Amino acid sequence: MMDCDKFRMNFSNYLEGELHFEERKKLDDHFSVCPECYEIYRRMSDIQRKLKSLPPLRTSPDFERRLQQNIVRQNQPAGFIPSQLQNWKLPAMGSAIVVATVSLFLVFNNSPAPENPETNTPYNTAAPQIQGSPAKQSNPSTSTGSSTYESTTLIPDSLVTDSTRIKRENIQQVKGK
Amino acid sequence: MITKTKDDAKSVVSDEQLIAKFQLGDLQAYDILVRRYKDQLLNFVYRFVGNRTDAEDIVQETFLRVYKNKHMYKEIAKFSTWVYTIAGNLAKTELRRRKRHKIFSVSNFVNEEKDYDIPDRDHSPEKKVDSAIQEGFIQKAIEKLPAKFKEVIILRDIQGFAYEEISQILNIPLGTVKSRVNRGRLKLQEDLKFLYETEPKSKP
Repeated sequence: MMDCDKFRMNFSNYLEGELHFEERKKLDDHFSVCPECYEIYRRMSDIQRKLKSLPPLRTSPDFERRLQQNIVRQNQPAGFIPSQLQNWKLPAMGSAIVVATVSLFLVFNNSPAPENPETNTPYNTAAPQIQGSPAKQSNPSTSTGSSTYESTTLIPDSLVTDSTRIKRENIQQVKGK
Repeated sequence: MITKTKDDAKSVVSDEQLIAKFQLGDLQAYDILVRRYKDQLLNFVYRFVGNRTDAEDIVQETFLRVYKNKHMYKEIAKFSTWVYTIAGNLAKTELRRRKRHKIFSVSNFVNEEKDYDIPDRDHSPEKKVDSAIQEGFIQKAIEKLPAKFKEVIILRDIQGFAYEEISQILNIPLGTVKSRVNRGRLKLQEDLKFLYETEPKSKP
């Protein structure tokens, strides 16, 4: 039995012709005296032949289409919003921007003059631009027009002086040049 | 993305050239690889998990992973080795998942000693078992094998891979592959011995 176990370890090598002549002969000799081992080898060989001839399966006809869908699905970004939901998103955002712009316009147009002129951000940010802008300095007509528009519409009266002062200087500087 | 190509059947371009093209963004190269491997991977996975639907899902997942991880492939290995490794790992994961959740179907999955009936000697001699039934028994016997034997038997005896490539796919030494193939074959013949029982002499 010990010998049988040892020989059986070589059955696959025997089956696939990988044994050297000496080893092959030993196994042949063993088969001649051990019908049990030979029967096992015969079954092993036959099953191996059957395994090779098992009918192959084919993937279903829509395999590639499903794969394509899966790839598309997996490639969608994490925060992806379905197109049905995207349809309302853009008009809604546009409307919100319009409403916000109109609201800002009304608020600045109707609010009373602030106590501290430095809190008026639109003005404060506009002033350095005018002062430091060589393009505007070199074009007095543009600068003057802008000053007129701001002073009569958005800038409160208390600030008009400052604004006018800055622009007048600008004009003088340009004239000086 | 999956487009029809004329040169699929010719196979003039190697798998490794195709995956290299795909890595550079050539989707047609990916399509050709899918067509080359989808059926043979299905056969491999089906013999492993024993259920066609599950097998096809696993092959789908295999190709998805190839798509997503195309840059993980390095040319040091054959493409077939890489793709079979992915499919084999997914198949083993599926078997482990089934084992955990105990969702074995009596009709489809056989993983215990008495999950299929051994035919009565008097009524099922070798020559009377037709090939379809025999194939069913063989498939069930394959499924019943321990995973380490099952994978080498499928790759070697059904898919016809060389021992060296099986060693690479499973990442185990060549000697271990050979030993497992032999033990797997011995186990199979033992489990299928009933197919070879001789017809009783007392037959009417």
